[in-house]
Amino acid sequence: MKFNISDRIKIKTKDKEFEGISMPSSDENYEIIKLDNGYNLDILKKNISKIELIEKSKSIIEVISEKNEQDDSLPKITILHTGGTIASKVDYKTGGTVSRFTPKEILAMFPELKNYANINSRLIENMWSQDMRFSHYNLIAKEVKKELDRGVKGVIVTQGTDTMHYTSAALSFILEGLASPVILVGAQRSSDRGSSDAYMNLINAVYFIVHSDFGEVGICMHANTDDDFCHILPATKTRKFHTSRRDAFRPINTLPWAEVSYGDKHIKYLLNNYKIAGKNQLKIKLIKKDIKVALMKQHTNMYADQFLFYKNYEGLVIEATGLGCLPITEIDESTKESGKIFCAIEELIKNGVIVVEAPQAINGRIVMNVYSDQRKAQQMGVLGNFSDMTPETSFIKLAWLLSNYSKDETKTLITQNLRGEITDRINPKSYLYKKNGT
Amino acid sequence: MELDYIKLGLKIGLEIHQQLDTHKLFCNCPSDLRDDKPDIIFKRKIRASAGETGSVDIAAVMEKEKGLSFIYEGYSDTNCLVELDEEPPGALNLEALEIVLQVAKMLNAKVSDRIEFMRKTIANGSVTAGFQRTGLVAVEGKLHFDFGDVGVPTILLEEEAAKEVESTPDIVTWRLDRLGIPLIELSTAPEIYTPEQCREVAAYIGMILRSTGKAKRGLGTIRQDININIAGADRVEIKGVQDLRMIPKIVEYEVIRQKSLIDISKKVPQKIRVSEIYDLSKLFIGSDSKVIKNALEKVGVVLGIKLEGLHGFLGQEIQPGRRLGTEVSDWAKARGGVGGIFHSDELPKYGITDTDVENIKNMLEYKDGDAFVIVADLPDKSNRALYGVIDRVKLLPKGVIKQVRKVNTDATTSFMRLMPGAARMYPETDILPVVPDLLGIKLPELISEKSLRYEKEFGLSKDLAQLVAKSEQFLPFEKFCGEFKNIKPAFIAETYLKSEKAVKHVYAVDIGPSDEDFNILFSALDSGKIAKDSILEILSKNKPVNQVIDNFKLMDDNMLEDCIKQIVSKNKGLPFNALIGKVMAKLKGKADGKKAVELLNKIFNLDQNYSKSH
Repeated sequence: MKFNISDRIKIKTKDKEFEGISMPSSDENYEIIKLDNGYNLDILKKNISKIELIEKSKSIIEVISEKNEQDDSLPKITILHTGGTIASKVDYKTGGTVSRFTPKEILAMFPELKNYANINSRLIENMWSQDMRFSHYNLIAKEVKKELDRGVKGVIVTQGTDTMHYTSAALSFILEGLASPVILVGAQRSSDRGSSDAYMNLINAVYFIVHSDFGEVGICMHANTDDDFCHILPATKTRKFHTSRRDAFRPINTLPWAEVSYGDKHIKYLLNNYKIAGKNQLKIKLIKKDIKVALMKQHTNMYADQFLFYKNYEGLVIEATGLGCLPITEIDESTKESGKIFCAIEELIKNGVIVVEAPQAINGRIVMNVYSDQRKAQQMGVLGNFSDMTPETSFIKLAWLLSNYSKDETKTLITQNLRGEITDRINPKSYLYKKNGT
Repeated sequence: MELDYIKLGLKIGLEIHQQLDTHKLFCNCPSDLRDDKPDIIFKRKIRASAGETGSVDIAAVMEKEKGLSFIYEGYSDTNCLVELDEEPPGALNLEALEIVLQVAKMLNAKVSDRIEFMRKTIANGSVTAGFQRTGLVAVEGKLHFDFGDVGVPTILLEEEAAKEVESTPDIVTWRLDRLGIPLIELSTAPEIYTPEQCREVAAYIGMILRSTGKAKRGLGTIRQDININIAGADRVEIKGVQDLRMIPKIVEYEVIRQKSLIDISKKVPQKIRVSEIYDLSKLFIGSDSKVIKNALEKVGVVLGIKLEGLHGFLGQEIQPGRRLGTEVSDWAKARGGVGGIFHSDELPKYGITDTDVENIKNMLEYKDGDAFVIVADLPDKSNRALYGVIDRVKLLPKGVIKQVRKVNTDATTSFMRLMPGAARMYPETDILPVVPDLLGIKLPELISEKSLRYEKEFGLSKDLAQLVAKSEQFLPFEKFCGEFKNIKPAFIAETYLKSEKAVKHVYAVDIGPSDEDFNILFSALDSGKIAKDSILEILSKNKPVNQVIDNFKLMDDNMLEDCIKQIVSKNKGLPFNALIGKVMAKLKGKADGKKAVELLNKIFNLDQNYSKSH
């Protein structure tokens, strides 16, 4: 019996009869119908004796009830999507979630935005955050520039949260001369739910762009598990710290730029040395899409060949333990491998690989002057002394430097502050900074 | 009032939610219900969002209009990130599923080939995720009663919601200890026709659930909702029926209410006309009414509307102690979060004078036969409240519409919210569907069957048998009976189940003996080492039994004989009954009374004979 998804059908098994709306099934062994009580009923196909078509599905016109006229006098903001993280809705036809990207759809989901800005919105390309590559950063940067050239006040980029801090760092470096707000927004709870953090994150980002003179790349996510306010976080000094919490993103070695709450009409700046918005003098410096740079995590019991693997890479960031101590000190029979690792790193550097340390401890600064083997590492040419960059930012920065500068220039610039990624003094209150309880 | 329920076309369906005594459904937190001070607190908002059919859920919109914030309180040692909606759900609690499968089997229901969990949109804040996770386990069960069969169309396994602890007009506070506890939900078909049948069905279902041995006990662990309508009325769901004994009265009052509303629907104008909303604030400057004074002080307003042709209806009683005006007030409260309304049928009253009423009537252009409603609160809330009033009175010609109501302590009901539409459920893709294992399901013994068995097997009286069968202690009871064959099962039952009360009564001490304590007691009694009469005293010491039991050890027979001989010889000449007294006083329970008297008798007679012969 021929029928389509969302047709009303009757399924007959040996002893029972079930009627409902046909639903898509990811498992070919089961037929799934949605009963009138709303529940899905999964029926083993092999038990089905007959399926009858009761009624073909009516085409349902999706009525977007909110009026969608926008106010042209309000500041213009473009939302660029890289996937459905912020604006997904449940699709009645398939039972799955479907992403919505047009301005009309966004305003239907976030009607508050109309009060603050004139919203444009589009999908750049579908990108799964964990599969992102340098070419994606380049694409996003170009699209951002396109919007800025059109004269928008600011741009919001929505992305899956897993690697949002990589993207924010990449955009920071690529968009040289930026003097406009480019805010990344994500959601830890999918936006088809009433409890999603997407709403606050997006609306606060828009509110912030409209009401602030902030002129650089930032991240806007929940500050606490509460739906009270968001943080605007520094693009190059932020990291995802929890697999699932709303307040997963925390600043490292610095404070958040600001707290934002559109509901309380409130922006509180915690720091004020951000770039002030003004005229963009954008020089797009892309990352070479084929450049080979890696980020490697040091651990105990390592082997030299783990390092030698990167012999033909152009750059290697090592998440080094403690103050930046590599496993290169051979003192007895048991640590013979450390001697080999020492030689391996030497070989890498001799081969032209730029080797940079970043803190595995995440918080704090790499200080390579403290232990003798660290000084040996410096002599060898391992870089990163006095860096307080996160490992992820170090990785992105290194790739970007090698794409746009000579090796020698890279060696100098890697530990120079270019976009706020390296601070010369760490605020004592920044360690595990959190304002509220839970 | 004697109601002819059959003639009225009364149809009742039951919906029972029972908490299960296992850890939570989608995480490993214990299902501990608590009332101590919580140490977690956070604040959230929940938005109305679209369900699977693309339309926004009506009830969710109503919640949104209220603009509520939610405060959640929890316990860091028994709540985890899943309850905070900060972590995806864990694996399904298979023990809970097994319990539901047992019930399904007991009801001869058809279990799903594969159980799929759904998200049911709930925007009132009672679930932190904005939806409840619920799964259909079985369909088409059946219950058999003398009055007929009652179908059980669905058997569900789902998460319990958080517990409301406080509700102000702008913020509702929820407690997370309850959130996520597994619930079995049984719904019956509307095949129940009288209040008494309803009670019977509810009691029977409760018994079946308790027979699994895994029904959580305590206040609020079972919730009964009654779906009820008479002919001409839409289905009304009454939530939160706790006490089985109240059920017949609740049904009766709801039938009266529905009948009253249907009668009213025939008498009111078939198209209800209301005026626009008027601002009456200036009429009340200097008013004596506390409510109005309060509102105006807080920069509130007094708003009013005229309801054409509705004079006398609001004051009409539709349930014992509740008028139509109370109904309308419920709607106003639900929409606007106001404390209440005033209506023309009850004024002048509450500090609102005759003059006030005249002024209102003038401003509203009142005509004979009209009614009016006024409300005093903040402008936004007052407006919304009156929209609620308008919505409700416009429905008067319809009689009884689909709605959800809650039970009051006097068995009447109050409006809670409109019945949410079906557009509320979509698949919970974070949980893998489960193929249930039906072969491993063992049917538990029904409590009713167990009770009969106890009467037959252990010779317990009907009351005692039921007491034990219903209790949580039936397993240890059976064990004790099997092990200690010298003690009568009835005595074991009485002792095991009623000692705490008895000790409290006799010794004014609160005790909490463990099963091990009883084990030692029964063992000693079984082997004759202590007397039956000592048991309560031993327990009253309120110490572990093994620490005190030696003091109560009975004398062995030789010692007993010597002791009695001594007493007899020291008390020559005393009559037999007095000697009994002396012996008992001396023994102080250290010997079995009957045996002592028998021995005394023997020794006394011997002694007498001896004396006589000498």
